[in-house]
Amino acid sequence: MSKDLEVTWGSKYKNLIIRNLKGIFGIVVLTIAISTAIFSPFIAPHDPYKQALDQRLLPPCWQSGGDVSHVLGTDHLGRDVLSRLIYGSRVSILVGFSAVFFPGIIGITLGLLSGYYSRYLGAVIMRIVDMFLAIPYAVMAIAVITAIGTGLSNLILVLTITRWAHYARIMNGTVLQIKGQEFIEAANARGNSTLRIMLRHILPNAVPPILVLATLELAFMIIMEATLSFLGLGVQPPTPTWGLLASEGREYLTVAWWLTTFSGLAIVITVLGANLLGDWLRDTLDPRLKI
Amino acid sequence: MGTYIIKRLVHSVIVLFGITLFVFLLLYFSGDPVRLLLPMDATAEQYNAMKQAMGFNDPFFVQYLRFLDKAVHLDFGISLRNQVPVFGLIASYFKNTLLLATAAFIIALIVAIPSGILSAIKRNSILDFIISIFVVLGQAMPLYWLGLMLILIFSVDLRWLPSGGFGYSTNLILPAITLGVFSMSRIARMSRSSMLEVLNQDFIRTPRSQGLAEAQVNFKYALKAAAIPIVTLIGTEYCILLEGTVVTETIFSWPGVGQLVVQAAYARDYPVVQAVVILITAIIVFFNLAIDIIYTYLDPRIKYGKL
Amino acid sequence: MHIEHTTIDVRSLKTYFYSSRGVVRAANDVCFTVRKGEILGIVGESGSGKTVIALSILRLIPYPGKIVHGEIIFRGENILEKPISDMTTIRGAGISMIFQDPMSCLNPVFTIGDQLTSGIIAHQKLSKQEAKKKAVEMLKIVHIPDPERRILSYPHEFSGGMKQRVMIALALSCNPELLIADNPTTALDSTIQLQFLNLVLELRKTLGMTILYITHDFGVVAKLCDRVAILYAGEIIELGTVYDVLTKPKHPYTQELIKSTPALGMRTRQIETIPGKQPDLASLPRGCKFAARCKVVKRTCSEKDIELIETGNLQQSHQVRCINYYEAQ
Repeated sequence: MSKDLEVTWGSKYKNLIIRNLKGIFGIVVLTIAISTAIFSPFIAPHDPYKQALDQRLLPPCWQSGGDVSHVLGTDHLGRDVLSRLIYGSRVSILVGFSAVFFPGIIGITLGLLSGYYSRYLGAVIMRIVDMFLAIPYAVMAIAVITAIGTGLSNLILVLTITRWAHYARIMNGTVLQIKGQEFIEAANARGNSTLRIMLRHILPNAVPPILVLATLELAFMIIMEATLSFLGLGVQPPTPTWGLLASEGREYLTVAWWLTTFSGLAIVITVLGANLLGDWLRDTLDPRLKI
Repeated sequence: MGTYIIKRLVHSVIVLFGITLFVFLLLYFSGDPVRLLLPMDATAEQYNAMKQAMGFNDPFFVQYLRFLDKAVHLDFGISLRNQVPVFGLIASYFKNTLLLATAAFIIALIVAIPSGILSAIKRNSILDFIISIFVVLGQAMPLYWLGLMLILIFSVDLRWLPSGGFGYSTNLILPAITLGVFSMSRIARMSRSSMLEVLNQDFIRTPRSQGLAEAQVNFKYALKAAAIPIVTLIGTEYCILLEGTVVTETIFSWPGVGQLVVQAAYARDYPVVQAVVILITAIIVFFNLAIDIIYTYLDPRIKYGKL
Repeated sequence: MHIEHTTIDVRSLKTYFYSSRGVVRAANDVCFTVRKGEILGIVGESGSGKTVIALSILRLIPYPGKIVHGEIIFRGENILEKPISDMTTIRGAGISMIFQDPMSCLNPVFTIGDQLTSGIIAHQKLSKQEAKKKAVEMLKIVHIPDPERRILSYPHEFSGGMKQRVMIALALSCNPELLIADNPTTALDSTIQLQFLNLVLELRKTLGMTILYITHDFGVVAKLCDRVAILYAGEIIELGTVYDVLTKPKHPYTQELIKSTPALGMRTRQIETIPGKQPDLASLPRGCKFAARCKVVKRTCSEKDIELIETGNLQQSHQVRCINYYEAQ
């Protein structure tokens, strides 16, 4: 106790990396996922649709009976698992981002309007938002699918209908918060048109919470697509999606563990990346945001 | 306190209206509502008969009210697949779902709440780190995959537990654990942040400055203050759990409403799906209302009149 | 300095916070003593490190802070060297504290009776009944009306002023030797403040309390304290009797401080009339910390850290951390 502690900050840089590790990991994973999706035809060793019935259910290459040309094995129709996995990322990424983009646009617009015209329009919109938020999500999605049918575009439609409310709520809250601040009054006094105020002043300030929400929603939508496809209510075969791979593999679980396992791992890693990125964004942009 | 409860009651009713309206609108959204309510092989006569019976020539509002009226009397029509009244069908499956959900809930609570609280108390320790890893992984795992992996390990490889079915107590174990683990990460996370928020408050410093032992400060004073938000949070969690039964029951062939609604959706048996949606929402809404009421009793600030 | 008359002796206390901004030196070589039966005031602007000193004495410094140097002698031992678990006997019964904001210091889901008695039971090993009786007595001492009924009330049923009285009752319930009061009246309005000060004086007389009173209000110090220490940028820069420091302030900062305090007896506002602001505790300059704002600054002031210089005598100490003080007279 009688000697001063030496104050070392060489560890400062180590700290910097550790603290931002979540964000770095997230960005890396998402970049890999998006690249895989875009460049699938160049990366995949085989055609994901090509069947080879004499090569059914081959185990991964490191197990006995495996083949180096099929690194992760084949499925019940002889199709290469790795290739299907790679092409599967296309659906997941496409649906994931669409299911963030479309509800996002709708939700942000409605939220912006309801925040700005909060007295009447806003009150009505927010009541509708409350209703949507209170309905249990999975059953709502299933109901909509029953009504309009399965398939990729319907799936995106379903996800859009069921998620827009989350963006609207955040946007509404942010707008209300910013609306009261002085620089908006100043802008108004200077005669800026409403649209201009909305675009130039309000929107930029709403970016942080919306960005955090969007990232976390991306993660959730990837899981949702996989789950719905797994249940047979989403994207239909023979399109490879990670959820479908798992359900195809389910029948052969006793003899071929690799079909199901790897598709799930792909999801876990991608979603993990998105979740960590979202957490990091939240911590960095403003930890006080209660999202 | 009274006004608070009334507000919540009104809100619940509005939500129920909303969900019935939504479900009803979906019928129209599908393009041809009559088609949706008839099996695939219905004849033209059946089509017209249905159209008459449903009163599709009446104004929209009247149709909706008729629908509501039936719903309140628990008449949800006939299941397209097996021609029995929907409500009776659902009711028999329902108790199985509740059994599964409750078992999973208890498992989740027992593991997750202490974990969350401990990791808040021993913040930044190894324990906290390990628990955080589990939480983070848990939130990235799709429920169906978790279930399948558990089946792989415990049914296929180790052969300890059955991979599905109903009737023996061993049948409950894997599905309950699967669903439980699904909830655990969220509950642990919420417990942790609730506890952390309390631990950062000034009123935790006071008993410390009085010289009370850390154990008493944490487990008596902090815990009770954190308990109230935790209780409300786990109420919401039960509802998410109910939704999870959809996947869990499908994987484990557990005869509950979850499996029922998936099969119905696949077969486009809309009356069944419709009924399940409304009923589950109703249960969740009332459950949340009950939690809110309990909450008002727990928090002395509300109970004794300030809020 | 007669040791048996000294309640607590703080020597060279250094408390640093290791934050992402860098190292914040909240307390930098703080030295003072509090004698038995006296009220020592510590005066400083907000951000000067006052609360940190109080928390350091009780070893309640939160992460990422750490006491990195110094000794605190209490009851003949250096409490900074004791294992942290020993502090539970000292806190409450040896040294206790009243905090700044009474609104947030009481647990909202427990009755004040519960919060009062838990300390009493822990330290004095009384039964629940006896502890309850003692708690009621304490409430009487701080003039809370209808104490038997109030014991069962929750904190939100009390006003700010009453909550602060409850805090005093809490702090005194186990007969501590030293009471530390950290800005207890900042959150209260002026009439309540006055009542509070009178209560403190009354308690000092009836219970013979030794008090360390931390504040930014010089007027309060003049009314209440026997001796005063002036805190600036984490250092004690002047220390002496209230009479000496008020009438013959030696440090340039103290002089400015006194000049900017409105006539005593009126409520003080935040002292802001000295041009410039306190240095950032994360990047303190070498030498005198007040040099940037000082009117009589010399080049030698910033060359190396200044020590406390004794300008009084053995009977009446008056220390100042300035090599220019004779100039400043």
